[in-house]
Amino acid sequence: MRNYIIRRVILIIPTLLLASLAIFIVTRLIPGDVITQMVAEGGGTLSRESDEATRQMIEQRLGLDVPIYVQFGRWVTGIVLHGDLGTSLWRDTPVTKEILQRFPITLELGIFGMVTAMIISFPIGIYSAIRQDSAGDYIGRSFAIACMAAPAFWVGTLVVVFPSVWWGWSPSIDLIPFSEDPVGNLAQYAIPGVILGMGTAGLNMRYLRTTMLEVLRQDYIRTAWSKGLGERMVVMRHALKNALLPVITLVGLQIPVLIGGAVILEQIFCLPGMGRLLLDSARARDYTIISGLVLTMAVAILFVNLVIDLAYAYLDPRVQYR
Amino acid sequence: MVEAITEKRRGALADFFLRLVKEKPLGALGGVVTLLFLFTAIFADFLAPHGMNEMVEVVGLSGPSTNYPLGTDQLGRDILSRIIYGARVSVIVSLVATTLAVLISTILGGLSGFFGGKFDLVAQRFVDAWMCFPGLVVLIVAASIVGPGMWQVIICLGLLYGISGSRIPRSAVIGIKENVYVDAARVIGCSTPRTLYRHIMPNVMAVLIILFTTRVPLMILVEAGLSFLGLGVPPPTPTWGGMLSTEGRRYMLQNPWMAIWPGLALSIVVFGISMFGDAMRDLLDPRLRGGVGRYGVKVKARLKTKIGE
Amino acid sequence: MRNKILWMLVSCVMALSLVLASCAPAVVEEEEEVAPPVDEEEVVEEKAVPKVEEPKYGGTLRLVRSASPVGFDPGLTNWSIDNFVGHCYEKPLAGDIDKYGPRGENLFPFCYWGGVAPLDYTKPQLIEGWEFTDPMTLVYHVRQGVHFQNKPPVNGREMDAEDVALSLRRIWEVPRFNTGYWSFVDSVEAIDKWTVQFKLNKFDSAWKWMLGYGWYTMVIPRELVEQDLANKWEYVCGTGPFILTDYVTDTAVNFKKNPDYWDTTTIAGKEYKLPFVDRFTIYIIKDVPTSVAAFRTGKVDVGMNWMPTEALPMLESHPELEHISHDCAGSLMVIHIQCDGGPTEDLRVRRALMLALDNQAMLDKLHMGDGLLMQNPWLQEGFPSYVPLEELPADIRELAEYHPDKAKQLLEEAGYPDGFKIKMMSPTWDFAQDNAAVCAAYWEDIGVHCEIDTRDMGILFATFYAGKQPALMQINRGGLHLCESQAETNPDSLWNIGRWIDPEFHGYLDNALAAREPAERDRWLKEMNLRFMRQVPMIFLPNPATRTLWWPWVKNYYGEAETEFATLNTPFMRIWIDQELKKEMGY
Repeated sequence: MRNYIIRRVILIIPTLLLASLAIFIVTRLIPGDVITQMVAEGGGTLSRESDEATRQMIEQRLGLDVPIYVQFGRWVTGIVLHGDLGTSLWRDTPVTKEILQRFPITLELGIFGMVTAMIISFPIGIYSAIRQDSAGDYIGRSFAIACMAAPAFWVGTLVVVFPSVWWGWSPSIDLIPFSEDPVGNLAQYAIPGVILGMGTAGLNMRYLRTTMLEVLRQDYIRTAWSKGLGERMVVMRHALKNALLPVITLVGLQIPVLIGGAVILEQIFCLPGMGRLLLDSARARDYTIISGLVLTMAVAILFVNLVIDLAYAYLDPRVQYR
Repeated sequence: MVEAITEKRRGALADFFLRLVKEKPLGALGGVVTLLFLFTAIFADFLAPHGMNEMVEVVGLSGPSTNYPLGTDQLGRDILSRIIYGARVSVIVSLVATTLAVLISTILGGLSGFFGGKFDLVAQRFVDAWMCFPGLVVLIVAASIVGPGMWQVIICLGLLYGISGSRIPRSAVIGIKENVYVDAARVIGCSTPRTLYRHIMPNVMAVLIILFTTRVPLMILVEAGLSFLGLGVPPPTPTWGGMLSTEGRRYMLQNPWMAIWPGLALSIVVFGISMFGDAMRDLLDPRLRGGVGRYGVKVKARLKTKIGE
Repeated sequence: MRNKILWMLVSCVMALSLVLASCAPAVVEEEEEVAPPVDEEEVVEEKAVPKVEEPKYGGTLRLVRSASPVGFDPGLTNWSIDNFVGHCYEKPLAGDIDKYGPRGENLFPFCYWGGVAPLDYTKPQLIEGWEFTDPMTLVYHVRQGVHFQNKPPVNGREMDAEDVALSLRRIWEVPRFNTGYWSFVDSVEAIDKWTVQFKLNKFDSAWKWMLGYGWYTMVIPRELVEQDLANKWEYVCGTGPFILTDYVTDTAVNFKKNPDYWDTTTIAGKEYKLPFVDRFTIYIIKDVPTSVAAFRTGKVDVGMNWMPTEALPMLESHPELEHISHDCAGSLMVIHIQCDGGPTEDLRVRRALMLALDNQAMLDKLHMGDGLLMQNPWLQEGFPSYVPLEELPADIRELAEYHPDKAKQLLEEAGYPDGFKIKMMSPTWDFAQDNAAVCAAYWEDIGVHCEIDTRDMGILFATFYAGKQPALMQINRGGLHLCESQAETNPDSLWNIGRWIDPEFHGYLDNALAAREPAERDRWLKEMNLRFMRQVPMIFLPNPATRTLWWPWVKNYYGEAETEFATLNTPFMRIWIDQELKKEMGY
């Protein structure tokens, strides 16, 4: 077991290096480089000559006048030695600060999403498996899939627009800190969180249903039935535990979605999360923020996956550690 | 004395369809929806009363009427025609992207699982590195690089979900590889391609079909999300996601029909394909065969008829 | 058994709520008629002569912007930063809204967004006066008794000429300033404590803008420059009426009243210290339906520059809102045409493209019939010597009309009887896409097949920076003004996207820039305007009327926006909030 853990942790390093190299190079491939944008947006330039002069000044100031491998080297040394992800090209603030400000928001939204998804998907998934092809199964599954089929931005817009017309209510446009007003804070995240959770609930539900169905066909379940155990015992004590294992993996797969995928809801509900930062930075070609942000997301996801893999290895007696 | 229960022999395909309709009515309904979807897409040119960008009315934003059953949008284009053509774009994007994704997943995951060892180790590191980026992040960056366009969207989606989905065929192949008959094939001297083709593939097929049917609705939804962010199939080509996220949202209060129709179309199609996919999985997944479930259903049915006599 | 029923119940409730939420009934319940389009002659539409009430101090003013500030140093970029710090910093000159605006003689509405107040309607703000001591030397007499805000490290120090000179000199020192922008200025010096001297090498009749109230002219204290703190929001410290207290990233920027602010205003003969409100917040909401919903529920007090599609339904449902409508908002919707090659090099082809567009139908279709058919590029409404479309010569007027046959004829004369293929690059904004689609449809009718390429702004910039722009490129322009004229029309300039070179036009332009008397300058501006419109270097699309809306409890406000470039503090510091009225109305 210990060897397995060590092996897994060591394997992260090449993955991370590959990932950071990929991020660094790929962001600079986006056409429409940042300096051109700055020069063009600066407005009235009179001649190409003065454009070029301005361009050189900006390049120098932003540290973009050195070759790309030098930039990469500087970036990596900055991270390893100082934990410094660089400075935003447009905003002139440390990238670490920008990310840290947004991380709690994305986290809170993600937690709400995950909890909602679980509340919807677990009961329906289990029920659908035990009572396969019954009316309840159909209603439950239809509901879960209907949740998934309505795009998040559509539901989000409906929730923002129509209550404002019918009841004069709209979601808060100001960030309410938890310390000042816990209820308001929770309320602000609840609505986009629920919509986010609804989107992923369908997938979870179907996966859980499949694994439950699979498990219910195992021999040991048939043994339990024939022993005369009540349904509740069979389901809870034998089937559910084993069916949940793959679902843990699935939840792990949802984390990337929750970390980066709430862009749409963050935009509609005025939550400055990491997803929105990424979109704005991609539009503005702010390389340092994009690189730093994607790297942070990658590290977070790798870490979560590691935890899940370890939990899986610990819980599932069938897993071989080779 | 209990008579031997004889079963009429039917072809596998006919058996499948019959079971689909009898045991899984919702799935059958989903299948009908899927077929309608495909039909609309293929015959869009004949079904649509007007061109997809034809501005039939000078002033648009009207609700349903006899001339335009679903109303017109802000540029005076017929919404019904745009929805029909939108089906075509959705079909192309989702089917081609899913095929691409499943192909990539199978090749990458299947070979990785079958050969194992160093190849597997290195390949999985690449896949890990790929998977630690949130999907939307990769799409945003990729879409910014390649620019808007239907084929760009297809390739981005196919590549993204292909690589991240490679785990599934891989674990299926690993599971099958452990079976005795694979060893037996090797012992009698089957070459690798033959082993792959004749022994591994048929057993993985079920998993692949399920993967396919679950991915298709996902692709449609992801394309809708990309359109909202401005990175999807560019206008004026109508896509349901695009119609919802741009015009539908902007004119939501003046002409709600512009948001309702594409949304309904999207929801119904996603719902139908998902239900159909679920039914397929229930019927085809080898791990779901037998056991209390199906066996129980069959036996109960027989007993009822027997006892009822 | 109980558990099962409970789960079933919960699922049903959730299903029901989802269905309810998704089912959007036709919200526009009554078949309302759209408000009749604003009469195009009127620029300012006031509801009634407002009664003059006694202003009260206190309250919070809330505004919305759709983009975050990318920094806080006015030297780094021009408009997106100025929109925020423009409430803290001030400029040497300012638009005179008390005299020329709706509060006074009502000659100019000052409601243009990203636009320019006319050069003649300005007054000295941070200076007491200016003069030309000789034809090439301009002198500012800096106002005394103006203090910076009481924030470290400046701590309320009095402003002097060195601050002004330093702030203006930064244009040459800070990267990201455009080095060619002040080519007519040789030097800027503070020759004594209260005098700033400019040495010019050429007279530029737009100098007031360039050196007084335009880009890069905000006065910042020298401590911020010396200690390199200018870009940190915690240290933003100017002479303006509002002090920046807090920046919640990408969500809101909060200001509070500057108790030591130097300026006052006169209402009904009484003089009042400014500003009136205690707090001022700018929310950053990118998504349009969300910001509209926020305004509707009273979370935002003033909604600025709304398009007809947003403003008219809001005015239907809330007739108690005050509003002002302006026909062009200082921004031009244009499509730049390639003038140095291809089929469009021929003037007849360009005219044909314009004649083939039915501007009236486009206005009706896209903007609910509310706006201008074609905007004068160089002389917008409210500017002295503005001439409305109806009074322009016939050959210019017909460009805004629909003559497809004439267009086809011109194409034939130019040698394209069967039309030709052309490419257009368009940004991803909603109205840009709609414009492009409609234009392409009209041009199809005369045989010109237009292929539309939709890209985001970064790529558009990169494309014309690299000189690879296609024959047509659609970009909004913030009006064409004398101060930006060289940038837009110089042969070698980045923003001269169509590469249009016209010696006659440049002759008029040079004369306009060299004219010392406003009357002469305007004469040349008129010529420039006519020549520009005749030569059709851009397709002039119909412009929607934009509206600024505000709730009735926002008092002493006439819909003004900018008096100096991207700076809104002048009208906003004059606003006072009637908090009792607000409570009465239930907000």
